Amino acid sequence: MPSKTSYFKKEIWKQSFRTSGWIGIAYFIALIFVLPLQIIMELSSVDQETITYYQENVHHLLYFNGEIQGLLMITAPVLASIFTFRYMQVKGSADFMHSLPIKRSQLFYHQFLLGYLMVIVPAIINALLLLALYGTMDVDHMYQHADIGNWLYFTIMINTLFYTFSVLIGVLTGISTVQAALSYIFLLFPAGISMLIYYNLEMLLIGFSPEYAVGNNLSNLSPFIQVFDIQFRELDIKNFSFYWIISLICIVSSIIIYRGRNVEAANQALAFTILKPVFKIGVTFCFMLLGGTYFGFVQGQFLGWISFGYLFGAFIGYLLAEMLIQKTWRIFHQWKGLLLYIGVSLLVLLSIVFDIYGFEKRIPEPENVESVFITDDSFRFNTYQSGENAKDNANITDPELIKKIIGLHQTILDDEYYEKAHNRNYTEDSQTFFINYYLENGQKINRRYFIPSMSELSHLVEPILESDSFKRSNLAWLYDDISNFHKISLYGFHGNHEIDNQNTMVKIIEALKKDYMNASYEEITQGYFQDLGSIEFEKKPEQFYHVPIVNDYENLKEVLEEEQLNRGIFFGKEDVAMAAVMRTSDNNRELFYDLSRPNEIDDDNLLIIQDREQLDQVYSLWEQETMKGDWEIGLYEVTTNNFITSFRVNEKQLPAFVLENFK
Amino acid sequence: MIQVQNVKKKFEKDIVLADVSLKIEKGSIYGLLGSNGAGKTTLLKTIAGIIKQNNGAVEIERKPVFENIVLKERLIFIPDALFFFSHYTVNQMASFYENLYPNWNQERFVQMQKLLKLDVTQKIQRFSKGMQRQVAFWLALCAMPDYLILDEPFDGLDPVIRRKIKSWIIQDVAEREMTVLVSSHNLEEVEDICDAVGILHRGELLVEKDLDDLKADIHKVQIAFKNDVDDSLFEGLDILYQEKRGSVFVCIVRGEYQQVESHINKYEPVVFDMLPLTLEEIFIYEMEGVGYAIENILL
Repeated sequence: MPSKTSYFKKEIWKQSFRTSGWIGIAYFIALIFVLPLQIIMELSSVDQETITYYQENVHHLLYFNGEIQGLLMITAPVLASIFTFRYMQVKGSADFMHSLPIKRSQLFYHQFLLGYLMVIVPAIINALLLLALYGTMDVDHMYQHADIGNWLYFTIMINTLFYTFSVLIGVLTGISTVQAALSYIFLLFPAGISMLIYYNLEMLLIGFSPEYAVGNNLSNLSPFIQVFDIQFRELDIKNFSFYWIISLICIVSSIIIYRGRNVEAANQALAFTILKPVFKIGVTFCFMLLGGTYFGFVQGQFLGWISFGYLFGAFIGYLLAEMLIQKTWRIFHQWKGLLLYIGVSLLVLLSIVFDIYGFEKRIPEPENVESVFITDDSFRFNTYQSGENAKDNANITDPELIKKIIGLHQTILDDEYYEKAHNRNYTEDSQTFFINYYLENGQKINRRYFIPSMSELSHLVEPILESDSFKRSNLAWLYDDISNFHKISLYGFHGNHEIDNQNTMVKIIEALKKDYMNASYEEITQGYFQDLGSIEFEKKPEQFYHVPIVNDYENLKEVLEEEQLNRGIFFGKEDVAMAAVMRTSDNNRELFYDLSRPNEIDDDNLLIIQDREQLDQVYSLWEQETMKGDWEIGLYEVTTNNFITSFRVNEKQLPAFVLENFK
Repeated sequence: MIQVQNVKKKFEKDIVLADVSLKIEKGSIYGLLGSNGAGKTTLLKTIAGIIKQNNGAVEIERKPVFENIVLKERLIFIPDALFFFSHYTVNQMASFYENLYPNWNQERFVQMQKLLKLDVTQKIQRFSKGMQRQVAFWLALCAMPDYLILDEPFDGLDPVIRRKIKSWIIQDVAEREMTVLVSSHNLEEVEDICDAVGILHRGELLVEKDLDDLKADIHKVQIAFKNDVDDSLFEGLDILYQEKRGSVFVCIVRGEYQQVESHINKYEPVVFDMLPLTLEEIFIYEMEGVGYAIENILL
């Protein structure tokens, strides 16, 4: 006689709540402290200044105690999943729970839902509290209705992701601590593994360019990092919709796997035998990369040490995996697997070391290249561009220039202009070069080379850097429609100016374009080191670009003078009140930066010039600076004696009175 | 009726149950014997629908047990290491059972409490081992199971509690035709309640016997003769074991009491005793018959 039973078993929930209810309560209390209480506290000390601060800087509720909110997001869901699913990780309770007259899937849903409520309900109640707060108090400057919605959405989404993911890991393992450890490892995994792989490829392959490699933004996928990052960024909830998809995949696969999961998996590190080799290979491989990275970092030059790092790392990784699976450290009789895993991993590595894929030698034929993007590190840093799509614009399509670039690439490879070792000696003459080819067949070839001595290559680089298409490609964003520009800020040696008037912005942009297009190779490269200041362009939405200001930018100078924005930006003789001279070999540049009280300085190696006539003589050398000079001259502002800039000259160029002083 | 057919179970690479078949009639008590590590617990858990066999079939009333909720509502498994939710009182645990087992009998629960004199508001984990065992049976019996599966239920209990629990079990078997499967590594512990016994060794069921049949059919015979007797005496009997102590023959004989008696009497023995065997003795001789020394299998 089949008896009628209800689908919902309240005692299972009761029991589950008795074991994991504290998580929900603790999470709720923590959220109260982090948000509503914090907001009330802020309110009680409110003044106009804070109100403006909030209006300008606080865009969403994740700003309030963002670190703690992040911490809660990564702990509460993982704890909830561990405690609600503890019933299947402990032998006695696993047997008991599975002997009950309830279907496995039903048992799973009961536990899953209860744990899920532990991380969802506190967030919802908090959102309601915030809503009530909004209705009763004046918190308009801190948040609006939409902010509550966004906060709740984001919190629930992240909690769901972490919770479902941790449940999936729980189903795959049989020990709660392993569940916790693996949950965190895998949440960090996308960032960690991409970093390791890129670092190792960089070490092993000449020309590997992680900056432009496919999927370099993999680390952004690591939700762990997102959670702590989000408080500083705009909260665009649409960006994360794929988290829901991942969560859904986690839930569905958890249920499917749980159905086939043996009850006797309780207390086993891995619940499925089939996972063991996968786990061992994974751990061995990761530790191998880690070992290589460590020795690459510490020793850096010699492939032997890196290989030792790989072997040693693989060895450690294999032992750790084996120890975890067998739950003992005494595993010294299992060597067969180790040889196998190390062998396979080494084969993969060796194929990269000996470059059997032909990565290092690959240079495309000019006729196959559709367009090229070429840039160097200094330029990348000096014209800092935020925003993903601003990184790479392939708009060199001129076949002649493409040929020149390929020629440069060929020369770098053939004559080994690149630095192989990982310990690099950065000098003012060294440079990191990026070349990205876009081929006709839709593929990309990205390369990066560290060139220790650029001057040897300048005859090849000069025509490229001076070409119109290169210049245009490097500052492609400048050619955007003016309506996309939000603001221009000028940062000079003294003070800064902000411009949001469209007409002025157009003028500045046009002048800069003209100056930049006319700039010579020397001027462009000079700008790398001798920038007096910079121009920051803010584009919508929230993208920033920086361009150095070079003293020879005549058009820009003119426009700024016209608009009376030149104060503190460009400088002339009259802006300089003092100069300091020293030998570059003295290696004491710090001294240069703080000479506000020159009379107190008593250093034989430093000459301070305040006499107008002498000053003019030294100032005139500014035009003739050489990068490799043995003497360095610093220039200082009127009244404040603040450092403006410094440059190098040769001994021959120095006026006699300077040399006299150093005799 | 519980039916197990050609069940195999592996834990990773270890074969725990090799090929086990057994049958337990409705309303009977079946004793599963075997040393530690013989696979008893695994077999019981398989029959209780907790773990799933790799091969073969485990059926109760001709339906597979695994994931069969209707059957599991009428089946209770009590493990050797008892499990109660932490910090649960007897009352809380009872409501848990009540919620999950539809045949829960609250009247009986109250009645048994009077007998046991245990505080239902106390946390179970504070109780002594014997008390916990009683609570487990109390809860189990109040769920009115038709099938009760017990893993080493008497291990480490004092004789008073042991007898109390046995009487509960026998009562339910007699009143409601409850079917009981009980495991033990000690024959003596279960021989007084079992109707049938099976011995499990290294994942295989070596012997399976109905106890009444066993006891009725095997006899220890001591005989002595004035003169030598010819071999036809022994040839006419089914002898499991035979030895000669002085002039006395000691034999273990299988066969109907009367038949054996009349056969021997024909040879006019001077001394003739026919005694029933203890269960343990029977097993020792039966196992020797299949080539095992029983000391290695049972304590």
